[in-house]
Amino acid sequence: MAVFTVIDHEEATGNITSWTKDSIPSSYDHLLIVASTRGQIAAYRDYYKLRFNDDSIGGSGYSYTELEAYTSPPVSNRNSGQGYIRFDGVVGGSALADTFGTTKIWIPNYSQTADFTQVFVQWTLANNSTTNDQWGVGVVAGLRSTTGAIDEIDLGAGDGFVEYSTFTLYGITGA
Amino acid sequence: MAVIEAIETVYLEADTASVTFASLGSYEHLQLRFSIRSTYVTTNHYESIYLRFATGGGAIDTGTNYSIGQMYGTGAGGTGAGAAITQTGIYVAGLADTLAADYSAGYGQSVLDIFDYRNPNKNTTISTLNSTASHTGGTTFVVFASGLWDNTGAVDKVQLIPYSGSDFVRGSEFTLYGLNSS
Repeated sequence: MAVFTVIDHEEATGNITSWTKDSIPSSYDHLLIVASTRGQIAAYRDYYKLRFNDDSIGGSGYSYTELEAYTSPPVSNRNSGQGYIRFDGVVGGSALADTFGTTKIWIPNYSQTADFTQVFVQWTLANNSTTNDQWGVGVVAGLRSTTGAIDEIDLGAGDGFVEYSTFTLYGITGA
Repeated sequence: MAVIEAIETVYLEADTASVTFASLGSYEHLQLRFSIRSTYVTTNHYESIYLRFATGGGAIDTGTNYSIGQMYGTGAGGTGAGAAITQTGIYVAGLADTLAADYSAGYGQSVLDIFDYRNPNKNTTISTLNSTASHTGGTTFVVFASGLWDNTGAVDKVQLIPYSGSDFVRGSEFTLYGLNSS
């Protein structure tokens, strides 16, 4: 049996607010999202808003811990009581043209029902700049403090994504 | 068709100046996994690897068209971060050789993703997680980095070459995977 299965792939054909996938089968062990995105925002970067199962964006069920760098040294922060897991990785309009950020989001054991859902994210903001805050890299540990299997993912951005942004959702099966 | 496929593995039977993958196939993304050491001799035990690309059937681009951003930890040396532009390759961490026997069996390792490498509307961007652990000292690194090649052409060659101009040592191993999106 194949280990990786493509559940969904989308390349934006115009500006979009978010990428959403619902009715995710529970038959895999883990999920992986691979995204290459650029935002509509005019600044150098924008942030993702990751939510599950149509949770209210005004809710308080998410927390996340970041290790990130936009200059030296790296810094770490923790936020709790949030309506979504927030992290950077969306390159903005002020960065080098045709350049998209990279993001990998692991969602292990997403279909179990007994415990909270954990998320691990790696993101980068590529750019041809050495100026502070015009580039960035980071890793994030996220938590949805609600039990229940995940069957819907919504990945938005502060000001939305531009054309050619891509999102691929993989299901990963164990032995 | 499998979603993730091994395109090619290169295992060095002798010290080698560079490794090039020239048959990349038609995938959405690529992933490189490598375990490497160079012949560069330094008390730091640390070497960088240049990652370079080619497009349109042309030669590997050795121009100053690459940029990087990274954050790292060096153990007792603490943490740091930085960016560099106008590079002749995307540099990622690797382990250098040394006269100390402790390091003779040590290799640096990386998992490196190349996103949307065939998309004509995007410059090529990468992310990579690298480590250069050591047993008794020297400068060791855990690095998470981004890289950018300022070219929207479809990548058709990927080259890795030691930053110092030395060789990859015998036993270094590189595997290139392709990830489909359908």
